[in-house]
Amino acid sequence: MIQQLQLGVEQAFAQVVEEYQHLVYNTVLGMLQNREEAEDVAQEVFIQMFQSINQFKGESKLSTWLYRIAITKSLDWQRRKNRKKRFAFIEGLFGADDTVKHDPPEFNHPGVAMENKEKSALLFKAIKGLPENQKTAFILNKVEGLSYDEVATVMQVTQASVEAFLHRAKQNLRKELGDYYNKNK
Amino acid sequence: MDNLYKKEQEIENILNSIEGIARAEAPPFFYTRLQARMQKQEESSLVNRFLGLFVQPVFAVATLSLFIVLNLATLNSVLKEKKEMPKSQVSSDASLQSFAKDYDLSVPTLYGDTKNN
Repeated sequence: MIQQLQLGVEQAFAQVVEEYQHLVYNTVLGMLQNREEAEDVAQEVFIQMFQSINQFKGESKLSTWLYRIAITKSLDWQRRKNRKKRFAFIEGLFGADDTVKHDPPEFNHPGVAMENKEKSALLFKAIKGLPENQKTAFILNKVEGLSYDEVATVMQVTQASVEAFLHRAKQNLRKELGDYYNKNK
Repeated sequence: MDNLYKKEQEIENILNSIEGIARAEAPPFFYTRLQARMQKQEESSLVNRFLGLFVQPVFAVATLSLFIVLNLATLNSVLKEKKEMPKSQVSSDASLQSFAKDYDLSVPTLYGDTKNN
């Protein structure tokens, strides 16, 4: 299939998109927590794959490569969004734009069981504040269900590093959720 | 103590709330929309490539050269035309003066009078 992709066969591209669209969308959705943005970025992932398929040497699985593109694109998107937010804030200070732009108040992942919706919304809100490496490891492990070894391959770090990222992520989440509990009890 | 236990329990529940989470599915017709976007990008890149030709240095130099060549050619043809002009046309100044004399079109001046005196 990879050879056909490299030859530009449209059928092969359609097949890859069909097979991996949910994997890519779910990863990006976990990272960005916004359905519209996740679709946009998931499309960008496949466009990037199509454009740089000749650089794929087959040393890793296609899914690993797609995970990497999805994570990179999501982080880039988030950085761009944060920059825009800062700029909008400065503009707001000088009265150039007095409309207040908010993100949706809470994110409900469609794959969470109904009885857990409320709690998972709190968890996703806390995940937003994690540093990039911790957030990536947490999403790949908890939301995409990858093993430590698979997360390490995607992130191109050792398994010990993944364990450390996840440990620190949980510590940070506990702290954040504890603060929330103290404020709202 | 009881409160602390309750808090820890609540945090643990929140952390475990995504256990067994199902994979979110991409929206329907994802591939169709992806195809449309790629086609649009391809079209705009073709237009950009075409417009990009005009800002290439080669294109700018070629336009400038053409401008200079056309100017030189025009100048050359004008000079050639002047050289090939018949003598009668060249002496048109003298005939004009005689025409003015015949019809007394010269402008009378005070200085002319003083000269005669």
